[in-house]
Amino acid sequence: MKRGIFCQTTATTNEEYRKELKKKNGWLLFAMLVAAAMAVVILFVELRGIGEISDYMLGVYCGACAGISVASLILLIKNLLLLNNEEKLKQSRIENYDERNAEIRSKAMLAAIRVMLICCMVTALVGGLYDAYLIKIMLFVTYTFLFSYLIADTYYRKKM
Amino acid sequence: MQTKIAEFRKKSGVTQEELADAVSVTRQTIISLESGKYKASLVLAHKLAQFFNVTIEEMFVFDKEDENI
Repeated sequence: MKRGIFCQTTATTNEEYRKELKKKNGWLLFAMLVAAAMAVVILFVELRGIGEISDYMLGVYCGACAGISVASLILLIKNLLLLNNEEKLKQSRIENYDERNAEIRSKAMLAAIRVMLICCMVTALVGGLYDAYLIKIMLFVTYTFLFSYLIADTYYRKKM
Repeated sequence: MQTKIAEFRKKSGVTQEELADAVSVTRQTIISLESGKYKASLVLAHKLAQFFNVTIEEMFVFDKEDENI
């Protein structure tokens, strides 16, 4: 079973699902190329001494870019294999279309959001004692979430 | 809410896999529906009822609590 957050599909036929996967592949290719290009630019900047990046941040940037590139490549290959196998394509479509799986995803997402918000608040309140930056960052994340929630709630109330 | 999916399915000689395939869900969803762990949406209930050529009311038995709107 696919457990990805962004796996949900509304495609009811293999043809619709095929189109969706092709579009997704375009985005994956774009993400892979952008991440790889960013890694090259960061390394170039560091090697040429154009900008000053700490070793730690250099590692973080290169690791993140490499991670995104490799993950995108793996997903791209996986999707290409699916596109060439009608039976597996159908199986994948049903797994991602399935309403029980969609409900499981929503509930898992809700649980994860609750945990994240509690962690943010605890980190802000406890971590803030040691570093004032932590409380600012965590409150920024929490307020961004709440603000986004309000906007999304208003949008869907009008739409549904 | 109770379902008679298993009853209708066995009567028709259809496997869980075949039923799942016909209504575009996974076999696990059929298992959860039959065991009452998961409640079907209106669309899925309609598809299942259509598959067995019965009404939704015949397929899903609503408890008094469910009907207490």
